[in-house]
This record gives sequence, C-alpha cells and structure tokens, in this order.
Amino acid sequence: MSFSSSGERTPWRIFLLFLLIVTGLAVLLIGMAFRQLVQGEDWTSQMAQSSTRVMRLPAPRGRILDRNGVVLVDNRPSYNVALLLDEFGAGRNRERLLRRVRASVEVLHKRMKMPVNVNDRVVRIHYDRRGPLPLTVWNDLSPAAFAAFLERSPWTPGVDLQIEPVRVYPYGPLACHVLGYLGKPEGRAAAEEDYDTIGRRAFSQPVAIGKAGIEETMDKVLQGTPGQRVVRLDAAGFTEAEVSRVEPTPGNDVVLSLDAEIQAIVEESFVGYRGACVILDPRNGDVLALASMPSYNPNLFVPAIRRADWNALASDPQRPMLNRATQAYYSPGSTFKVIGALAGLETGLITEKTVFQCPGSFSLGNITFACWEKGGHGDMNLREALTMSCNVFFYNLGFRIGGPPLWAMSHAFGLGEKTGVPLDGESGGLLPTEELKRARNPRDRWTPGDSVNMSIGQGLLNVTPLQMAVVAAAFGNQGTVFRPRLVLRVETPNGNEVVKFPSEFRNRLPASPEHIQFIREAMLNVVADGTGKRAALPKIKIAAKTGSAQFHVRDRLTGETLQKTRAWMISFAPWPEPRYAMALVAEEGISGGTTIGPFTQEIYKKIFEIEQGRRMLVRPPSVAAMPVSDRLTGKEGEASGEILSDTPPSALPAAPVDEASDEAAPASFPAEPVGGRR
Amino acid sequence: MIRRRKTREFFHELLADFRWGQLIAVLCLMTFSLLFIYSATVRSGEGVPDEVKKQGLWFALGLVGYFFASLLDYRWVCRKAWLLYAGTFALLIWVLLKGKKIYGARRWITFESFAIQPSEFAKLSVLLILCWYLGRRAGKLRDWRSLAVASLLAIVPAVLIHRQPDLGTAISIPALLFLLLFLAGASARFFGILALVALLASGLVGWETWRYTQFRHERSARVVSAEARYPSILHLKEYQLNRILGVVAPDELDQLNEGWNIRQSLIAIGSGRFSGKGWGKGDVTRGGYLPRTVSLNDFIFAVFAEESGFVGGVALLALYSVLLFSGARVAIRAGDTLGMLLAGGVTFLFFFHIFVNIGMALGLLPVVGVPLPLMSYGGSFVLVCLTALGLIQSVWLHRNPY
Repeated sequence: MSFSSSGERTPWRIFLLFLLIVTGLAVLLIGMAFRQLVQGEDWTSQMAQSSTRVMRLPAPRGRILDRNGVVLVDNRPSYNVALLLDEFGAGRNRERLLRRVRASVEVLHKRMKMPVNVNDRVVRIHYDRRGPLPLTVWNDLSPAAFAAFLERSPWTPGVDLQIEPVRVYPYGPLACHVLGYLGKPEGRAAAEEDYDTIGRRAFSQPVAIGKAGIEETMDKVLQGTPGQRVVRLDAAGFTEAEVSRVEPTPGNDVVLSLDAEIQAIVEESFVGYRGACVILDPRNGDVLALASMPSYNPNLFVPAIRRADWNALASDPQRPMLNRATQAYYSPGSTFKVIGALAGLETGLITEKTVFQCPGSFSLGNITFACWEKGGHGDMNLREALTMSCNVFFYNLGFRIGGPPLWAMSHAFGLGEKTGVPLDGESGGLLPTEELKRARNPRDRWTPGDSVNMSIGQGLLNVTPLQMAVVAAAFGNQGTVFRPRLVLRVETPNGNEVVKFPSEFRNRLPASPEHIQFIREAMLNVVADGTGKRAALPKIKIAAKTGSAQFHVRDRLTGETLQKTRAWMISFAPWPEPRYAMALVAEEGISGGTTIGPFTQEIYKKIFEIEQGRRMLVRPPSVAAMPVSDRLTGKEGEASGEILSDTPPSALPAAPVDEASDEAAPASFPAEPVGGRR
Repeated sequence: MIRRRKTREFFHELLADFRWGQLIAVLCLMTFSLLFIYSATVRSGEGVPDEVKKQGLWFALGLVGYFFASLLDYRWVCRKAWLLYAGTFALLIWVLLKGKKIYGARRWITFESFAIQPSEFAKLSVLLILCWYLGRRAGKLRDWRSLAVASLLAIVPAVLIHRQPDLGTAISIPALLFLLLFLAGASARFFGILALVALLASGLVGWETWRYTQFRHERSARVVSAEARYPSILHLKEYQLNRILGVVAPDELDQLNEGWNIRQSLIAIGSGRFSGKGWGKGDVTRGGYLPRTVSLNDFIFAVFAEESGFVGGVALLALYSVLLFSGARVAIRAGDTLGMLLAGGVTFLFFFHIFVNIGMALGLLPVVGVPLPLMSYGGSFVLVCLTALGLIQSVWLHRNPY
C-alpha cells in the first residue's frame, strides 16, 4: 500500500471545508429568512395576483328595433360543443389527454358531421394557456347536429354543451346596410392571448364588436358593461373556485326611425337592381327606409363569417356590402334642376315667365351642349322645362346666373356635406365650386361652361341618395332642411327611455315660399304630364323630378366604351302635405322616368296600402338556413363594368368621380370566429 | 467456525459503529422527497403519480447500493474506480451520439420507461478516480505533471457533459476537482493562480453580461433587428446569460418569458412565509405556475418551501447539516488520505448541490440545472447520492486498516 498514513494529513484543510459548509448553510438560512420572513408579505400578495384570474362575462348585447317595435336585431342561443380539458381524466399526461381528446372529437365528428376546427396544436396551446376555459370545438350547431348530439348524450366527461347568446337578424338581409354586423375586434383586444389586470395571461374570451352600420356606430350603447368573474385556481391548478362575481349589465336597445314594413316594400320592389332608395318623413327628417341593393345577409356573420363567404362577399363585383345610399355617390342628373330652378328664381334673373327656345342643343363658344330631346323642345318656360326636363332651358339658366347662386343653393340643401346620419363611412358627395376647382389645380377657373354643366346636375357634382332624399323632403315640407334622423331613442331592456334624439332642424331654404311652391307644383306636373308619368297613382298625387345621368363604362370583355344611365327620381307624396319624401337611384337604367317611375309608383302604392292597415312584413321562417348564393344577394346579376366617369353629354371632359368611395368598403377582413376555434 | 465467529463479530461491531444519524437523516429526506414530489405532480381525482412510485423504487434501489457500499472497503472500490470511470466515459460518448433529446438537451439514455443520466454517474466516477489518483500522491503534489493528469481526468468528462449541454453538472466537476486538489495538499501557489484565473473568468463573464444588457436595450429599441442574437465572445447562449441577469438584474428580464420560472419559484417560497401553507396546499406549484416540468426536480425546493415554510426549510437544512457535518467528521477521522479525500469529496459534492440548488431557488445564484440531493426527482442522481453516502459510511467503518 502506498497510501499516505494518517500522520501526513493536513486537517486544517478539512476545517476549511467545514468552514465553507457552515458559511454556505448560513447564507441559505439567511436567504430563506429574507425571502420568507422579510419579503413574505410581498410575495404572498404577488401570489394572490397570479393565482386568481379575471374572466370577463360578456354582457348580452342590446337589440335594435324599428319605430314600431319590430325587432330587427335580436339575440338567440347558439349551442356550442366545448371540451373541458381538466375533466378528461388524463391527469397531467399531455399525450394521454391528446389521445382522449382526439378520440372524442372523432366520435363527435362522425355523429354530428360538422367540420372540425381543432388539432393537437390548438388543444396543447389551450391546455397550457387557458386551461380552465372551455375549448369550443363546434360553434352554433345546426338543428341536425344538435339532435345528433343530444341523441347520444351524455357524452364522456369533458364534453359539454354550452349555450352562448349570438346575434340574429330575423329578417335576413332586410336593412342590412343600416343594421351592420359584428366581428372580432382587431388590434390589442384581438391578440391571440388575453391579459388580465396585471398584464398576465388571463382567461377572457374576446367579445364581438360592431363592424358596420348601427352595430358599429352604436356599439358602446349596445354592448353594455361586461361583468367580472374572479376565479381562483385551486391547489389542483385546474378546476376553479369563484372568488367574486359582478354580473354584466346588458346593453341597451336602440330604436330606429326605420319602418320595417316600408323598408321591406322598398327592398322587395328593388330586387335585382343595383341602386339605393331612401325614404324620409319630410315633417321631421326621420329615415323611414334606407335601402341599398344588392344586399347581403348579416346572419352570415353569426357566430363568425366563414372565410369563403367573406371572400365571396368582398370580391363580388356587385359590391353587396357597399351601402349605396350613403357611401356611394352619383351624378344627380336632372334631379338637380329643382335646385338650379330655385337658385335661378331667387336671383331674379329667371322668373316664372322667362322663356328660352330649345333647338335641341346649346352652344357656348365652340362647345355644344345637347338636350336629351334631339329635335328640341321649342319655346319653354320654367314650369315646362322642369316638367319635360329640358336641358337647354337650364343651360341658359346656368349661363345667365353663373356659379355662385348654384353653389349657395346647393349648399343650403346640404349637398357636398355629410348629412351626419350615424352610419359608418358616409360620403359627403362633391359640390364643385370655384374654390374647389382651384384647390385641385391653381390655374383652373370656374368657367361659364361649368355653370351650364352644373345646372343640369352633371360635371363634378356628385351626391348620395340620402342627400337627394333630403332635397326631396325640403321641397315636400316647403323649405325646411332637416338632418336625417335614424336613431329615435335608446332604451333599457325593460323599455325605459335612456336617451332621446330629437328631430334636428338644419336650416330654412334661403328662398321665398312662393318660389318653393312654384317648384313643388312643377314637380306635380312632372308626374301628371311630364317625364315622371309612370309614377302616377290614381288616387294619390305624387310630386317628383326625374333624372338620367349618363356615364361611361368600359366593357370588360370587349373593351368597348358603353354609355349607361343612372336613373333617378326624387319625389314626395301625398300632395299637398307629404308624409314621405323619396330618392331612388338605379345604377343602370334607361331613364329616370322609364326605369324608376314604376318603382316609385309601386312603392308609394304599397306604402299607402299599409297605411290602410294591410300588413306586409312576414318573418322569413329560416333565414340562416338559406343557401349561400341566395343569402349573398337578392338575385344573381351580371357583372358590372368598370366605371370610367359620369361624363356629361357634351364634349366637356369631367373628372372620373362617380366611383364609390373606397373608404366605404370594409377596410380589412373582419372576423375570425369569436373566442378562437383557431 | 472461526471465520463465522469473526463475521458475526464484524457485524456486531459494524452495527455498533454504523453512523445511524446519517441513515436517519437520509430516510427523513427520502420521506420529504416522496411527499413533495407527490405534491408537485398529483392531480385531483387521481391516485399516486407515477413519478412518486418511480422515485420510491429508485430509493429502494439506492438503499441497496447504500448498504452495499457501506460494507465494501472503500480502498478496494477506489482501486476498481477506473472500471467505473471507463464505463461512464463510454456512456457519456454514447449519450452524445444516441441519447434522447428532452427539452433541448441530450442527457438521457432510455430503457423502456426508465431513463438514466450518465452525467450524474460521471460525478461519482470522477470523484472516485481522483481520490484513487490523488490518494497516492497526497502531500507530494508539487510536480505539475500530477496536477495536469488529475485535471485531465476531471476536465474531459466535464467537457463532454457541457456538450449535452448540462451546465450545472459540468460546473460541479471542476469544483470537485479543485476541492480534492486542495484537500490533497496542492500548493498555495497553485490556488493563488487558480484564484487569479477565477477572478479573471468572473470579470470576463461580468463584462459579457454588461455588454449583453446593452445589446438587449438596443434590440428592444430596434437599433438592431428584433431577431438578432447576441454575439457572445465567450460562446455563452442567451438563455445562460439570461440566468445571470436573473440574479444580478432580474428587472431586465421579460417576466412572462425569460424570468418566469425563477419568479414563480420566489413567489412560491416567499408566500410560504413562516409556517407554510400545509402539505398539498401550495397554490403556486400545484396551480401549475411553476411549470410542472421543473417543479419536481430542479425546483423541488420551491414546492417544499411553499408548503412547509421557513420552519420546514430550517428542518431541511438541519437534515442536510447532519449529512454534511457527519461527512466532514468522517473525513477528519478517516484512516488514511484516501478515506479523507473520499469523505471530503462526497461531502463537498453534497454541499455544492445543496447550495447551488437552494441558492438558485432563492434567487441568489443563476439558474443552473443542479438537482437537490435526495429531494429532486431523478433516479440516476438518487443512486449516485446514496452510493456516495454509503462510501462515507464505508470510510467510517473501515477507518482502522487491518
């Protein structure tokens, strides 16, 4: 043995080890005392924060009603199948859990025949991050799937049927552009992970918010106040115990000025066309109907729109999502003549007796402006010119009075400005003035040609159908311009009024009552024996003005430029104390009188029928079950061409303005399903 | 007949001489271990978790090893150490090539449902071979050649382990080497140089950490791209630097991500306060805030301290003190240098693990994966610990050379 003997040992070195151990243990002891005794309270409060979770309890969203109490937007129960991962009995064995989940999902899928939206990854993420929350696998079961589910229940532990309130639009596409739809919030609120009050992962399911229409503009009112449920995760870390609970306050109801029956009449009549119709009550500016065609079914967005449906809607060349009544703008064409005429009368340069001769065209320098009647109308006074919609008379009028009176009168009617209706993306149209032309190009001037062009509602002038309805209403009520009122009041779910929106007076027309009355009578003549004959009803007197604004379209297939016509009619009835003022536009028509006259006639006829007590509104039996193609738009239509411009019928070039404003289109893809199913 | 009587006498002597305190402490620790691994792994409505059963099985196996090692003469064991060393060496190479990758590291060799961790066995093998080598040269450690050989014997397996990567184990081996060199009487000059090197190294790491902090600021301010990785001069990974930051500047870390484990560990320990929350009532650990992947091994102390509080922590330290002081005493009273080195080495190994593990859980030291002896879940380390304690017992029982 060559090991050293004990005598050669150096015990002081072991004592150093001894010292090291004593010091080390002392450090640990002091560390423990510091963490547990000195800092104990802090860490305990930190723990309280981290072992409790705040879960938001979504408030039931308020309803949207029409003026007569017809529920246009309601909530219905959605039956969801969810998995409670901690009840699968898989312990903390993730693989076992995944196997069991997979098996359950497979069986359920076979029974219910609904597509599966979860995979292992989703389950794993859910397990790790949102453990105590149910993982929804199937949203909004169809009746068949619901039946199939119940047939075999109870299922294995962990499979749960849950009821969640979702939106329902009982009348399908009716007033869809006014009502809007819901979608998943974007930005921070939409982030895949949720955070609680201390910025930690939390369990709160995102709440759908309004993305368009009243659902968007009145979102705060409709949403209510979410409740809070504070949950402590018990020692097992998974099952939960409730610490405190604040019940949500349901959202308030919004009562619209719309009359669902009138809205239904309008939409039925207009099926198959692209265009818009707005009916106002001229006595107070109430919006009784606001329709844009084609329409879509907002039920597609419940509980969340499928990508394919969204793509179909967004890429549809007919643009069903566009609210043509407020977001699109069009040349008003001859409907503008009523404003031009009033402006002329007010200057005194034109009187009721002024006569211009119409040879079929009007020359200004080397430019020729045509009348729609190629042969000419002969000698015309103002009343005749309005009745027959003679362009040459108004070319002369515009030339004589010039731009400023036209601008001022248009401004008084509210053209070129948003009406302020509470709908998203409203367009203000475009009121061309010298100032505006100069703003576009400093060297540009307002020329007599511009006045001539504007007097018949062509050129840069663009208006929304809603604005023209305001014009019709102002003539209807003899000179008062109201701001359109769409929301009457906000009520609690019990029907107690919270806020009332009064009718909003904008201004009086700066015109004498005689002149207004003169034009009202001329509008009566339009229907009696003028361009609007087709709108006439036997017993009720309707006053109207037609308009046919030409614009050019390049055909996508042949590349040819085609001339098409925006067909307009603004009207009010019954004479002499109108209760309705209407603006109607079809994007493609023959002329205002030919195309829109019959619509106006039919709509008024039906409106007066329901005034007599005939009910029109029938609740569709199963809106949601309609096939998709029918749900998208009322009717299949040919693809529209690319719009170049609303070029006036003269050689004067005009800027291509008749484009629906882009901001009107929804800016981005709205909705992945609420609460995930990622 | 004589032999039989001799054997009987030997056993009588042995039972009288046996260090029962050590065994009692070991049994207490084992009980704690099973209780708190249960606490860390059990889920409502389920029976005893697999981990507890497996740990129990390892303990049983380890106790067999413990008694066996107690009876063997440690001199004989050390003479045969090269066999164990060679075997471990082969396993270390094997695990690098074919090992099972778990949480990004190749540390395990799996048989059916059991996995062994060669790096844990390496601790024991290196200890034994160094004792054998240094035991013969104690007091004569003036020549640099012996120092170099001893260092090589330790450093090569440490490098292999570092490659897995397993920083905690890789650090424990050089630490053990220096301790044994010290006990074996290496010159003061050697340790002077060593201290200088250590100072330099810690200075380098400190500088690197400071530069890394600057880099993080630039990255969060988008001066450099968000995907940019820190170009470490010492070839340290970002997660390793993060662990240093976790001690020196915890606020620099993203609490939801990088600093999560240590923060939850501190919440668990701190909220245990004086008397703890009671067994099975640790909200932080059982609520899964302290991830279940670490709560039963590297962070078992957090589970323990949350549920048993400061009182429990003191008791745990007391139990460890029994082991450590008894080990140190055996080293002092050992029959020869080899015995002294062996008992001192094992004691130091225990101390190192206890100090680093608990220090880490308390946020005093960077997070490195070092298990807590006889508490953490893991079969290989249990076997190593119990065998090593058995060897201390052997040094004691065989202190009088025949």
